Amino acid sequence: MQPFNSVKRQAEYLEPMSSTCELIVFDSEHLNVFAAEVTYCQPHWHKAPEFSYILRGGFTFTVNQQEITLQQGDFVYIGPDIIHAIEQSTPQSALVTWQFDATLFDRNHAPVTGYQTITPTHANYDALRQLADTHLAALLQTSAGFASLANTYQLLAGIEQASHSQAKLASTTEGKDDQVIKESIGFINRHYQEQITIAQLADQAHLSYYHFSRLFKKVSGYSPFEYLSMVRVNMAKPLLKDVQLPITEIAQAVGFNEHRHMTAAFKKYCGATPSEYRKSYYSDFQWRYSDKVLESTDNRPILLSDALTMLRQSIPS
Amino acid sequence: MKHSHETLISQMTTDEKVAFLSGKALWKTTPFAHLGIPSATMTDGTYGVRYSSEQIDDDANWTISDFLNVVHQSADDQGEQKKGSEALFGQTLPATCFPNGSALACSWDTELVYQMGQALAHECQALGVDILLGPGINLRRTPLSGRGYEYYSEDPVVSGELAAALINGMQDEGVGASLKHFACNNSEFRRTEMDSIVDARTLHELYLAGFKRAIDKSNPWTVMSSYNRLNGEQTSQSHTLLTQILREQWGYNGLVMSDWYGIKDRPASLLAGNDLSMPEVQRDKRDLLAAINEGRVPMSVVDESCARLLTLLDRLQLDQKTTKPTTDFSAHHALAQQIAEESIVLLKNDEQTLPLDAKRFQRVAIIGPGAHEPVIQGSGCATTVPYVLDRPLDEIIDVAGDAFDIHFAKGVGADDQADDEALAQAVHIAQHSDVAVVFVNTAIGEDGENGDRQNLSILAAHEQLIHKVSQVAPRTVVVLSNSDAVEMPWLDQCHALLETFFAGQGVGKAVAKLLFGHANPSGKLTVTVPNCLEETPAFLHYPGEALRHHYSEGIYVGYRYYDKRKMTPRFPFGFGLSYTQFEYQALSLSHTTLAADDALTVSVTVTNSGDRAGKEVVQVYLTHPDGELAHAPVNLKAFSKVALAAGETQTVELTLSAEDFRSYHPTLEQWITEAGTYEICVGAHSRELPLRASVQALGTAHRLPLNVDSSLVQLINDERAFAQIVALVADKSGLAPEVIRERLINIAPELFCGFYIALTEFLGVDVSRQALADALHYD
Repeated sequence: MQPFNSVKRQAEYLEPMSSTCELIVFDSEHLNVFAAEVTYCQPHWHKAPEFSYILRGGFTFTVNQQEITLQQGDFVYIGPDIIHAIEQSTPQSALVTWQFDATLFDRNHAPVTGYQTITPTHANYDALRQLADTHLAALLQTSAGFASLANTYQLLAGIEQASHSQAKLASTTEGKDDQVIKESIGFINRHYQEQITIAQLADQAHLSYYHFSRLFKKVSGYSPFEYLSMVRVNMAKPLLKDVQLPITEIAQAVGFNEHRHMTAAFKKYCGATPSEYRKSYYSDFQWRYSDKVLESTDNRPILLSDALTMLRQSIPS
Repeated sequence: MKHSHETLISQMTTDEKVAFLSGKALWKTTPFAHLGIPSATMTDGTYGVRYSSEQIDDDANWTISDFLNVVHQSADDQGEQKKGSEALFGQTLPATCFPNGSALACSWDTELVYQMGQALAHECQALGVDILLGPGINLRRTPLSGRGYEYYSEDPVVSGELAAALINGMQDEGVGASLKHFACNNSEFRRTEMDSIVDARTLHELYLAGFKRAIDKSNPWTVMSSYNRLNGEQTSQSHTLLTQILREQWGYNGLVMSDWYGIKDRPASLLAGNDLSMPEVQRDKRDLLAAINEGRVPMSVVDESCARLLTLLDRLQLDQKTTKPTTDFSAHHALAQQIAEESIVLLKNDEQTLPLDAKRFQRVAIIGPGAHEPVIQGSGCATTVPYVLDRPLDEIIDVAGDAFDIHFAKGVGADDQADDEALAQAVHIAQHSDVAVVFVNTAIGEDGENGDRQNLSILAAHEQLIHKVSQVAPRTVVVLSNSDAVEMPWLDQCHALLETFFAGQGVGKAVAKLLFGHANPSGKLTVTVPNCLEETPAFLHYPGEALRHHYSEGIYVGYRYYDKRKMTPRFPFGFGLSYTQFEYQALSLSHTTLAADDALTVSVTVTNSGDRAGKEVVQVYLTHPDGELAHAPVNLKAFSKVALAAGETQTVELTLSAEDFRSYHPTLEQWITEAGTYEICVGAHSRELPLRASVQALGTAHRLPLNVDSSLVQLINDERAFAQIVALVADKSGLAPEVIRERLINIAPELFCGFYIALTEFLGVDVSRQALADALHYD
């Protein structure tokens, strides 16, 4: 998922994303750690492996063409370049996520591939929980250096062990299918402002309309139309925060050719109309205050110290 | 004085008393820890709470520039337009921006206004504010007045009733109100220098009447004196106004504070009854201390003001306000939406253009910058950073739903300048629409404190927009946002007109609901809308000259003037349309004859004869008998807002108190009820009063001024004096009193001279001037 400090609000945010995969910026710790209340995160992929812990509530992850349900207390690991999407299954669900920089790995120490859920029944669960706790606690001490790096490697080692000790979930991905959908997602990400039809996307993928739609859904968890609407909703959100822009212009700018379509998409993916979304943003001063660390998603950041407390208090379900 | 207060005051040094009666920095009262006297915090806002963290929390750093920042705050600086931290750390903390006075009053709904008072109080408490400096109810004598947007009406009954409701709402929740600006600050032109010259009757019956009514019904804990002079005296230094009228005649027992820097002579102001001087001014404190030490200000006066301030602090229960409670801004936003909805006035609706129906008007062109950035408030010390803002366009899209196709064009360029390209775009979408809704407004920042409007026009570019759009759109609806009445040379070009005044942060939702019929308009005008500036009542002598402003129209303020002159204004006082119709029937009165102290109950049945639910403002006006005093044709005395389902009938009862029949006699300097036939007129507005009924008033036992130069007719009207004069003449002439009486009555209409000359020169009675004068006395 997208970290909050990696995507800055910029003047050119209306520009289509040039790459389909996410650009992740790492600091001296060689990793990004962030905690948030997450509503959803649209399908995406990135080089950095990702490790999450559910602090509160529950989520549905779509990973590698499979839907996984996770509850408070569960861990999930997602290896490099795997398409994944996240959607909360109960309101105010929250998670904490580690993203590991490629510089942590070398030829002999490759990241674990594939994906892996670690629930409380897993043999390594307690060990991982302890590692996560230690890692977060150390991070809060701001002691960058080898000790800190050691903690990070301890955590990676824990993940590695957990994936060894259980039969690794078989990859059902056919690389080619995955690639086709990645290209399609990339196209949508670049051209959402235009009038895109599903038939046009299917043509580009050299697949029938039916086959394409099914494959898209299987890989990403969403139908192509749903994904397109989600991208438009996500792109409209930062624009709605800019009160200079009339709502009708925003609808046009992100490719909804009618305000009614934008309203419908917002109701579905945001649970509020664009107008309600705009107002909720401006009436939440704590949220407004954290404007700098917010980007285009609805995700509400949680302080890492609070996340650590939540981790310690969270009872696995 | 309460015993404990007496003790406290006896423990205070003169220096401490002087400091106590002066503010602490900009927004607080002076505390004394060793005496257990806490500090109260006050802040501006007649329709929203303004809290400046820098000025209130960090009071060491206050400067005059801070104060000027407050006064010169423009409605443009609403904060939300700015992003991020600027919005948060802007001049004041965000708070609910309720409909401004000029809009709020159009609701004519005391219950809603009470709720707004409660909400304001809750926001005050959440911010740690103990006294909110409002409401302001100066009569809207001229629509040019810069602060007209904060004030309620051109009529004192509406002003007083609504102010009382707001004050009760606030004070029932433990937050003090400050009724302002006392008195006769009815325009902003050189407001601290001008002398308002107002005759006594007009002063009491019009300009003070709203204050009196509000004080009687809500007892505001503070009253704020105004910046101007009144009949030659600085109001903050007027013993007549602040002591004789306010305290002695009206029995007001609260505290009087000055407007900020409104005191010119501190010792004089304290002697006059202006207890608290705001804000802290070192020179004022030195002056007062010297005056006390020199015996020019007696300690008893100082102690009395200290006692009033202690009483105020008691009322605020500061010891119980150790923590700031949270408040529900979302609920307040909903209330702001509701009040806006009930305050917006539908002034025109030809061919039932509104509400917009998808069958007739599927394609809707929304035009004008105000649709996206609504003008929700005026500019000045009341300007509030809105907690959240409903944008009309956003809300229209939400409310309209799937049945409508909405397009938007701003129609004008940057800064509301005409712009050909923007205009062409607006014309284009209007051309392809079934109806165009055009949002227009007056210039932002021109209305406001310390300056009046220059004219009654909306922005030129907006007027052009109406003109061009209405030429191509099949139907045109105008949504108007303005501080006070405007001229409407464009009225014929639109089919429907919604007047919002400055309706606060909920205006967008309210307009959307009204346009699409999710709500039914129920606001009514609380001022007359003129055809042109030149016909307005105060036009000839506004803004005064040589620092004197004669209120030359006298009692004929607002509709009283148009009625008296039989002029037809653009829209009359009390007017407002609905999507349904109301019928008035069965007017009945509780009395046919009224003794001087009797109240009258008026009852009338109102029927919603249309096909949708709605609310009607039932208005009761009074006509006076012909007597010594001249009167306006009709005078509003009571009103009631009733909600009626389609087809529903309700009987509405309204009460006119004995005071409602009184007039202020300027020579007697007292309130009298003239005997005679009064007419009770009931209807939907000041020019539509279909139901009328009469009541006979016996009148008060007052005696009109009489001297030997009064005419015989005047003498005869004073029965006891007449009897005594008849007896005197009978004695002098030897004729029977009955004969004298009859002859005098017969001849009286012919004799134009005073009766001393009439008796001596025409009737040959040998009587001295002094003997006659003596015979006039009784009691």
